Amino acid sequence: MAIDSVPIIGGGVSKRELKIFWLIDVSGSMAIDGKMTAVNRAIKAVIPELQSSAEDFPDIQTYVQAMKFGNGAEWHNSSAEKIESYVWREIDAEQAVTDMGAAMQLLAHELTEEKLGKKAIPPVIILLSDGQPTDNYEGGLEELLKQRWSKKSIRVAIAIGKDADEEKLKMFCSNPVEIPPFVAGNETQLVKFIKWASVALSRTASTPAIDATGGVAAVPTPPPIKAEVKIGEASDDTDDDVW
Amino acid sequence: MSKLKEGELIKNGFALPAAGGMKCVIEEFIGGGGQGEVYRVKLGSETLALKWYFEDSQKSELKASLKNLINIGAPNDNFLWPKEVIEYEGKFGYVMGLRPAEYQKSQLLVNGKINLNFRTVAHACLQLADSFRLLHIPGLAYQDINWGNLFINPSTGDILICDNDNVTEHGKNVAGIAGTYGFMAPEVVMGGLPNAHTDMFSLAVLMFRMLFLDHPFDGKRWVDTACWDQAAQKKYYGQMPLFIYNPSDSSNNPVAGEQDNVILRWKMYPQYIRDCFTKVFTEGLTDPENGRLMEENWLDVFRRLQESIFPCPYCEVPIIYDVDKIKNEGKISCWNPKCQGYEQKLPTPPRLRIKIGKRERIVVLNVDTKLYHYQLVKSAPSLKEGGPVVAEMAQNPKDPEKWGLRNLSNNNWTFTTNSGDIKDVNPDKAMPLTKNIKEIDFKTSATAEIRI
Ligand SMILES: Nc1ncnc2c1ncn2[C@@H]1O[C@H](COP(=O)(O)OP(=O)(O)OP(=O)(O)O)[C@@H](O)[C@H]1O
Ligand SMILES: [Zn+2]
Repeated sequence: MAIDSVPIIGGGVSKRELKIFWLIDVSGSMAIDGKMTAVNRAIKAVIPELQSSAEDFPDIQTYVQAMKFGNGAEWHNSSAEKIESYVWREIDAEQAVTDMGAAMQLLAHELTEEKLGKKAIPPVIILLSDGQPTDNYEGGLEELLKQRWSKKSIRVAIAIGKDADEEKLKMFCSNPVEIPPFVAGNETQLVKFIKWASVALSRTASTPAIDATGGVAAVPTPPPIKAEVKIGEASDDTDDDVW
Repeated sequence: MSKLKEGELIKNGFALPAAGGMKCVIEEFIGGGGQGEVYRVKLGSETLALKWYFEDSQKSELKASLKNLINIGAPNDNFLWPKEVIEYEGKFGYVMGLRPAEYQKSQLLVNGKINLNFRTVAHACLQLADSFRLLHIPGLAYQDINWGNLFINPSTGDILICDNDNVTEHGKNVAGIAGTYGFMAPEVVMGGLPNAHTDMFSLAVLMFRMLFLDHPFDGKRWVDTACWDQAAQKKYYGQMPLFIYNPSDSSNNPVAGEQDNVILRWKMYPQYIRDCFTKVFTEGLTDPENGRLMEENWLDVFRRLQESIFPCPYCEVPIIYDVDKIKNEGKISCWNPKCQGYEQKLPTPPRLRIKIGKRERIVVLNVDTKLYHYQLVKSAPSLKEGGPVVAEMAQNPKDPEKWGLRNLSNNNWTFTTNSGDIKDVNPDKAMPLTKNIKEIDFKTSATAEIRI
């Protein structure tokens, strides 16, 4: 009797949950210069990368959830969805202002122990905006940061174009010194930042890497904004125009 | 040569200068990592992989280290070792073998997407131990052994070890690498530098995860920790690690419903395997030099495991013949809850008891059992040297129900019957395996008895 064909039973281990949140500005100005198109393209492009990256962490289940904020804030996906089966529904810019404070408040409800469960790892939160907050941002942020889980979370911000309020976005960041808000001046950069923030930071949350300087490198180095000789993944558009 | 513009190298057909006037032609982008990007390339007629470093990693020490590794050469074929440094406009990368598609991420084992049976997993662990043994012999250290760098061919258990650019001389640390949480030795978690001793810890963690699927330190503490962040990992992997089966402290035992893989498998593997891991994960926590098993010890362990596997006569799941277990429990039984032989006494499989001087090894006889040279000689540490098949099972052409052992070696074996007759088994001939045989002499200083 040959036994090579018999697998041992089992497979599948108990998993921890990783949640990635995208908070997306849908104010009117996002309709201009193809910003919203770029956001949609970037998220669509990052999903397969996140799926393949998730395979490297068989003991972690990755979920994603997107939020829109403009006139108030609402979840684009009513609940966090598994990355394996996630399909991106495009978001449109609205005739709206930039209620970032409302976004902070809405997110605060998700960073509770009941919502994140008993087996979690630090959530990754990516804030995307092209403008000035129009409501009580500081108040909303305070409520967010009051949550015990906020302290554990990895929060980064991406400023889209020159009009974004970098100082305000900095207040949101969990590590504003080493990873201050990225300023995306064009679509290529925006796509790169969204990908990096989603993939590299979720990998860091999954298995923190440490360097040999004795210190703990809590986060990987952000991508260079302009490398003189950047030998990179082919981008199918060579359009480098500034918005 | 014209200046390289952003994204230019990626264009199919871009040619980088290589040694001896050759060209390294970019064919396709494969993927990006923390330190650089990897491309499929053609160098002469060979298809290879090129790793090109990001700006941050373009360091002269790394380049020198790569050249040193190339001079030393690959420990064995299981490593996708640097073959040549490629330089262009003050920047560099290196080429290595391209990983064939049948080699899959070892993590897929843990989420059940690929499966290894006892035999293939023993083969994979054996290869791992032997590969790192050969890497450590010339004084090198890998520094970041973790499952992300290991690829497995699930049908054979053959392995490939990637990311060899961080390999360094034991005690040096060129790339500034410390390792990966969950695999690092506790002293590295606490800020120490990786070296060959810390490799041996990480190797044990990796093999444990391949054999038991769960993590050696993730027991009750893991279940009780809501947020498994860096602080928690530093505490439980660095400051106060506690093996889930620490014999004198059960407070971190695996939890049913959460860590069922290890609960099941800890019972399935023999005591000698449990003992090895227990040693590394208790004594080895604080005694890097003597508390962590040498690769040679692991080789013995996995060879022994390979020799002792047989299929359940009812359901065919692989079962390990384990003398200690038989002594303790009075029987061998099937571990498959769905099998009619579950926890029942199974007939003991036929086996050879091979004696080499004072040493003894028990080889279970299945229809596809083969004997290798290393099993019949006093010491054969290296797999390559221990390689050739010297015997295989053979059916008697007159009665296929009757099994024998074919001599594939160059020696003329003999066997002695119970009545004292001595018979020859010349190369390519097969001898019967019956109760009537007292002893086989393989003419290698090894003799064997048949246990039926
Ligand atoms: N020799 C190779 N053949 C085929 N694919 C390879 C080879 N080496 C690397 N790759 C693939 O290329 C991609 C990038 O590899 P790289 O080693 O840079 O990534 P990584 O392991 O994530 O990086 P690092 O550990 O350096 O951060 C990965 O998808 C990897 O599987
Ligand atoms: Zn059975």
